[in-house]
Amino acid sequence: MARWLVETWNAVRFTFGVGRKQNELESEMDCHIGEAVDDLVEQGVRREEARKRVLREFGGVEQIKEDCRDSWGTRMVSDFKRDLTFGLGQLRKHKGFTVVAVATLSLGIGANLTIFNFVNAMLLKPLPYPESEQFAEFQPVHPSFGPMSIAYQNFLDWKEMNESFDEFHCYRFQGFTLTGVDRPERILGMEASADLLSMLGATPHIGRFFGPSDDRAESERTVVLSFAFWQQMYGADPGIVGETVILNNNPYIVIGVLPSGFNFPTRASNPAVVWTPIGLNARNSGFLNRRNHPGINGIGRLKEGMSVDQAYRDLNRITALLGEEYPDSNLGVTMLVDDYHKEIVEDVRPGLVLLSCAVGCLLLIVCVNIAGLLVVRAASRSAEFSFRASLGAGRPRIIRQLMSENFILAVAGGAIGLVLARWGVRFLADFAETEMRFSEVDFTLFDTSGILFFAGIVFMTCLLFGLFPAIQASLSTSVLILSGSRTATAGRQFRRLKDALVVGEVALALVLLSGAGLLVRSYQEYVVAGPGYNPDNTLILNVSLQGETYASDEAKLAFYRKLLLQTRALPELKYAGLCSNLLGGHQDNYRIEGQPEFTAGGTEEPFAEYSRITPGAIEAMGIRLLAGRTFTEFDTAEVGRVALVDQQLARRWWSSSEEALGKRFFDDGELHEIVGVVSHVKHHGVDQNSLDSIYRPAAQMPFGFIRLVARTHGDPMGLVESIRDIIAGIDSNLAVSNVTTLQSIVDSQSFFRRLTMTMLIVFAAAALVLSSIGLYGVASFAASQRTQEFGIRIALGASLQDIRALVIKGGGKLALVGVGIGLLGAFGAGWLIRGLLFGIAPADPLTYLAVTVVIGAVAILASYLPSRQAGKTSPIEALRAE
Amino acid sequence: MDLLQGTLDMLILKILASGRRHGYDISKRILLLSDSRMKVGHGSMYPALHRLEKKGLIRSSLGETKRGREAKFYELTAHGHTQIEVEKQQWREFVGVIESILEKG
Repeated sequence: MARWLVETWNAVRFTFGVGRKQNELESEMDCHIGEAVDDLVEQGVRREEARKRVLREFGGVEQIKEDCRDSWGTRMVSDFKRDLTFGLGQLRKHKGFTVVAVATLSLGIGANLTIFNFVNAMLLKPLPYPESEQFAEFQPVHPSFGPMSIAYQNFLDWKEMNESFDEFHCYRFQGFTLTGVDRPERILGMEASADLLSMLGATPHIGRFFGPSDDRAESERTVVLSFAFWQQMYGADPGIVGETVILNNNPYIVIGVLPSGFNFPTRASNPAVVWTPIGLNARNSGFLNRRNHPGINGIGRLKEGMSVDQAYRDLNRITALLGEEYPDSNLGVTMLVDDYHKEIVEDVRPGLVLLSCAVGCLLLIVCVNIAGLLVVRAASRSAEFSFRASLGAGRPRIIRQLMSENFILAVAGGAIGLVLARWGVRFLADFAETEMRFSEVDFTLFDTSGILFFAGIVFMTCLLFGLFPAIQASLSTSVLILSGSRTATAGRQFRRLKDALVVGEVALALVLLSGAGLLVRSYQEYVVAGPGYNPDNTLILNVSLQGETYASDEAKLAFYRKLLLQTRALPELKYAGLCSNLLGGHQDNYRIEGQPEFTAGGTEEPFAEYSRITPGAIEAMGIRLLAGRTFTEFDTAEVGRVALVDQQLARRWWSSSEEALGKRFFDDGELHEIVGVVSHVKHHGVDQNSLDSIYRPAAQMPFGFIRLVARTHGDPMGLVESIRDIIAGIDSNLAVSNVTTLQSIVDSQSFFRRLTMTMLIVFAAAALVLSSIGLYGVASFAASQRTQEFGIRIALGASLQDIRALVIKGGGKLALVGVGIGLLGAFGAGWLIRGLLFGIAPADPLTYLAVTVVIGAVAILASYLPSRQAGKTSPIEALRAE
Repeated sequence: MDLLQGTLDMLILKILASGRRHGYDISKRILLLSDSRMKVGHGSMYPALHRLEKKGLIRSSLGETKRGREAKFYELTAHGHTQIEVEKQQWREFVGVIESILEKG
């Protein structure tokens, strides 16, 4: 250890004392020569003669100085500049190589920087709230129904009894109709615990936020406006504070405005524009009920030093107590506690990890490719190295010189890659903000971690592609010096390394290509499987019937009739229907007639997504009828209760859809007869599990919050204004909201899958091109090296075909080995990404077959082209060549 | 007689064991002790001196030769003193092994 320290210290001392050392060395030499001359003079030699003899004996003073400097280890610093200059000259001389190397490097580095920026922004950097690392989400898990939302009464108990959180809050989105303005508007609100805003670090732009006294059932109704809403709706008038606004026919006093850019929850699809205290609802029947409740979400901040695991145990301890106290609603329920950030990015993490690995692979291929080019170049530069070596350059010296050239390449590639990454990030961040709703994350390319990553990747890349060829080149010089001419030995050394590189390249490309193939096949399966409805040309929008006018079922039904009648009269319209819930949102239990009643802790309690629909809704959604009938105008409140179920529910209880017809189930204590079975709808995306569906006639239980579904012949958005007019014609006080199409919902559900797939295809295509260039390079290099041999073969009677076959066989053999190794890697990779696959096995034979064929074809082409060149060799020319 | 590779460091250390000397003095000393049979090229001695200094086995300082010329003098460090014994030991082992091979061979 001590010795190591001494050596290090000496190296440092020497390095920083270069100038002084230089002078000392000069005078040391002078002293030596002087003393030697004096000795000779004392022995009687004439001074001039003595000086000549000493200098002759002494030899190359400069050489000795050079050797000494090498032993100091200080040469590196002084030589580096010279190497860079020389390297630049070399690179300028070989423009073709330089352009290819820098271009591929910049692509590889650019892709890596872009993906890193994404990973960094989404997964690594903390969310934009103070102490957000300590934020945790909690959610009850029902023994048969799975994760579900929270009952307010349970929330209050956890808040009271937990020992692991210092902040414990709940929130839920709630739609409001804003009236008392020019045109009534349906707006999205957030009902939240009074202190949630302060936990999130928000400070009022103007006014104040809620206090505990605002968060009770008997409190005066108060509201906080979002910055954007305050600007749009009230022209940023600060006088709004203290004014009253009408929400859902109740007066609310505006107490403050949120800061601009504030958003919660992270990645919410629509930001809430008004916030109200959730406690105002505390006496509503749903909020008092632990079993049948409107559902709220929970978030809290862990106490300092408290882990998610500890909080998990803490909340589950309380939940077990609640299970004993309220077995009817809580028995068997457990709690899920999750890191908030982790939970938020759960859906994109596997895809981002996959893309990171893919760009890593791509950069590796780029490096291998450049290494291959360097090896070829080294072979053609061996004369230069031999010359330098014979002039006294040691192996380390040659390696350093080559590494300086590589360093220039890496830095240039990195710089251009940076520009590419800026474009890439700008392009993708747009999608991330709109489609993936990452509006609040920071996509700054150059923060500390970004700079470190950039420096690291340039350095690593330089080592990866450059070190091995440089060592190889320096090794070859000794062979060349000894043998005095270009020999087969050196050539073979180069070729073996180059062969290994190409094999690696082909293998990596195959891994990437098969990964892309698996994702493409998954998406294919995804499309084929379909969501269970037909999203083409279908418009959806929301209308909310509020207040006294629509209190009665008759009023609601009358509105339904008018709306549907007029809408169906539109010429572009195919089908129209109304539903209470579109793609899920209302889950409830049911019991098939004849099945035992659900008892706590007994059999699994069956749950389903409920929706009440008018006639025409099934057709408008494009849900297929598999057995029985859909609803008609005759399914009114006056006749017996009827229902449609989906195939998934029918299969759960009976062997066929037909068998389900006429069977009955209990819901809300009433018997419903199944009159039809329809296709299963994947509410949250084709690749997500979804509950069974039960549909009931709207006429038997009308609803105020309406989703209109309209299937059209042409562009569905063309119908929006006509339908708005129809609604305004019926009642000008009604607000229309959330106008969109089924297709855009389906698209956003599959967006990240498509993005990941597209990017992987791009990376894999780049990998394929690079590795075929590599293969082509090695095949043509091998062919050119064997010109002489081919000439002899032709002279001895080999045909052109024979020579071509030889070249193709050479390339083919490498490709085959690469494919073999690559397939092993691809199986492993396929297994690792199995979570991202849909409808296919990780070892999908079709994918691997297709990928192998593609790589094989490219490999044969890449070796066929040089073989045509080789076939043209005339024996005389070939023999003359040497 | 040519020097066996790797032995120059040992000889320099041994010669410096008797006190501080400058480069020319060391080369003269080697010539003298070997009864003029062994001549160390300047080309190998100075790099060797610098190498040893970098390893921390010797250190250098400025001084004057007997003729009054300014010169760089080398002397052993404590670490260098102990290293001589190690080198001697290794050398003897080496010679012993070679000899036994020559005898038996």
